[in-house]
Amino acid sequence: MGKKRATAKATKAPGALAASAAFGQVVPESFIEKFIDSPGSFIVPTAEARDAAMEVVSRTYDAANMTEKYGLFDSWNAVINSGFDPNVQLWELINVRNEPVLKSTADTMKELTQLLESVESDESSSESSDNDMDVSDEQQEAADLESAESELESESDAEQSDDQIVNSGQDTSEDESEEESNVKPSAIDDKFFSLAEMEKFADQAEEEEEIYQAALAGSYSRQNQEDDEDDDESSDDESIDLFQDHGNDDEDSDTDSKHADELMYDDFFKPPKGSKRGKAKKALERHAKRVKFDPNLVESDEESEVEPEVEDGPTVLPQNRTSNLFEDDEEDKAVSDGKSDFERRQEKLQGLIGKLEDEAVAPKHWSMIGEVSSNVRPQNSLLAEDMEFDHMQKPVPVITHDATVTLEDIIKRRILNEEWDDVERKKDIQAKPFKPSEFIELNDKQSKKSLAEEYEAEYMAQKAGDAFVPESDAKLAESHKDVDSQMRNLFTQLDALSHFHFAPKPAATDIEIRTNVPALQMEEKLPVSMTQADQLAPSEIFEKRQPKAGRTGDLVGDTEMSREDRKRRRQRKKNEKKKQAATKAPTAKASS
Amino acid sequence: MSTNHNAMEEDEVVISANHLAAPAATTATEETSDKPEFGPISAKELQEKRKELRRIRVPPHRFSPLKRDWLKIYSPIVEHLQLQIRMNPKSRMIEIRTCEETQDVGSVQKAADFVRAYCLGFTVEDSLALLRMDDLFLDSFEIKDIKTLNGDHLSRAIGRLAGKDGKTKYTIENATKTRIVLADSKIHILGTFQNIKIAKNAISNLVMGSPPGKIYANLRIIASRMKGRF
Repeated sequence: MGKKRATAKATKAPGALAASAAFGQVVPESFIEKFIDSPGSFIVPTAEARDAAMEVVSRTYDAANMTEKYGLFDSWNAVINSGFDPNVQLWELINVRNEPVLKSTADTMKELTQLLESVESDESSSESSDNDMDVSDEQQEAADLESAESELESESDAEQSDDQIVNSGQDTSEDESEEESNVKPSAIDDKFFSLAEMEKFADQAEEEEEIYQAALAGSYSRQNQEDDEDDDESSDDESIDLFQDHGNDDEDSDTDSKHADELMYDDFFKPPKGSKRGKAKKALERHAKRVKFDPNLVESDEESEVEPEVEDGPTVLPQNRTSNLFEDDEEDKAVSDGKSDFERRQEKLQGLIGKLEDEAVAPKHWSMIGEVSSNVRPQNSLLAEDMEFDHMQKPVPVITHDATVTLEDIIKRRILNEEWDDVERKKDIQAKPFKPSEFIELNDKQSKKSLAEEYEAEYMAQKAGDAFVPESDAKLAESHKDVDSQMRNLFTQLDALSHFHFAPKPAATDIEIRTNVPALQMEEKLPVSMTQADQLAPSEIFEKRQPKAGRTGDLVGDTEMSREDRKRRRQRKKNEKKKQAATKAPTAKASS
Repeated sequence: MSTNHNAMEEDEVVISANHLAAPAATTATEETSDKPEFGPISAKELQEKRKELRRIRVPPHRFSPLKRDWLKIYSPIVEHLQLQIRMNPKSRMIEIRTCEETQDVGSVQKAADFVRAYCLGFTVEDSLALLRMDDLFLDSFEIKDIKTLNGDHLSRAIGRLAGKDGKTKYTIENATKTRIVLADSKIHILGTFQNIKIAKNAISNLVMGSPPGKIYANLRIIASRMKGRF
């Protein structure tokens, strides 16, 4: 097992192809003949096979170690003597050693195949024949692979081959760009993204992987490769040849001359597909290239694109680019006639004029006539028309999500703020006072007032005007007053009971008739309120008579008076009596 | 002259004092003897010359009430109106006469109306209103003026007018500020002109047959309107 693995890994080259001298150094032809071409020898392990294989391994190991490109490992002898486990560790080491080599060889092989193809296509007459391209590509690849076995020590060969096919590289890029247009843009395509390209890239990656695996497995064959690559249309568009001299490149300016901060996207990448800039650049490029008269274009097939040199402006695209919506269609039409600009313009104008004339002459559309009844217009034609008319009803509210949201917000706010829309009872601001006199009540008893009295009362009421208060109203007012006073009394008593601090009753004005009657006055200890003591003034108790001149009006007792005073008093009394009698007498007489 | 006249008359109408004066003079002399001449009369003379006498017959059913209320009757007439009044029992007439103290000429009429109202059946106090107010009137009519009713119908009509215990009558009286006297088929209303009209209307409706409830409703409306409320 181990031996077989070793041999499998050791043999990088696919099959028994023509080996280069370098290869022969490492892997002797005898080894190949004996063991690789006839695998039957491996069925029974022999010491001879083992030794030969080991020698091949050692040689390849040392060969890989020669350049720093693949990393430097210890020499084979050191490895052998280091004491690695021969079953596992040793072979793992060899595996590690071989990995970078294999990778690099696969890459270079790919490149070389491409270059070989381009070389062969250049040699052939037509550039634009894709089929030939394909074939040439395949051939080129095959050729490259044939020469790729010596990659370990012949990197310069690659460079030489590169120089040979400098020009073809540009053509390929040109052809590639033309081939790009054949690809149908898919729905998700973008300026930067192309589904077809992605698929292409994926396919190529798969193929590389296949080749790599095939190289490992040792089953690579030219025929297989040809079969596989029949489907492959074109080479990779986007691969940049790292070793190519960019002196002829029209697209980008020399990036080396620019400073680091001046470098832009365009310096490194092609403009994305479909961009105007890209188109313009291509056009410029093509124009530049087509300065020299190319007889190839004249002889080209009808299928291929035809670009008349007279035309200036954006490049005309082939017929099969139908899905591009943003291109002018008129330009496509105009291509075929070969007329001048002016002629074409004039034709257009004439066409327009003709159309307008027809419109003007033809009978008008029914909606332009004026007042139109249903007979004039076709059936259900109003449905197609946009009509404006006034709606007499309020438009039905359209319930949208927003409307419901706003409505709900309103409801919530109202509930929180308690702003209800309840109907509130109206209060009469100018409430009429209750007057019993205003109630009309028919009295069915004999009226106590006579007619004269009634009219008298009416007359008095009329005379009084506003001051007049009807009986019933007066009674009501009195009863109100009575109730008021009673309640006030009650409340003051209750308040007095409920207060902490004593507050005396407020003095209410009260008219009292005080008679000059001597009453027993009770002395009260607490001067809380005014007693019902006689509050008459002394002069009100005893009023002096108007004294005559020279006398005082004081009371004089019997013992105090002199004889003359007594006499005088008696006389006065008598005179007064006489007077009274005189006044009474005539009245009596008169009455009788 | 005649030609001159004619000519003048044809051309233009000319009135000159001469023409007029002549005929006037002639007529004056002729007619002074026929027409009496009246000079202006003095107020005193007017008073003096007017010596009125009114006689009011007292119906038999008012005799005893008259005897009872005689004082109340003659006092205001004599004291306030300064008239002379006397009762003639034989002829059953009350006579009212003016005298020197009488100041107002129209007082005789007032007194006569007062007495007449009493004789019709109104109380003294009600009749006194006539003396005190000028614009009170007395209206008398019969049931047969409104509608011809016979026998029971008539009695029923009278009953309807009066009402139970005089309810309806008193209601009308109170509502319209009038006094009503129902004397069999005769109806007397005392009050102001408008009130008489309203009362008469109510009575007519009652006679015609409307129920008292309706009358009450109408009276209520009228009363409220009279009060000045709308």
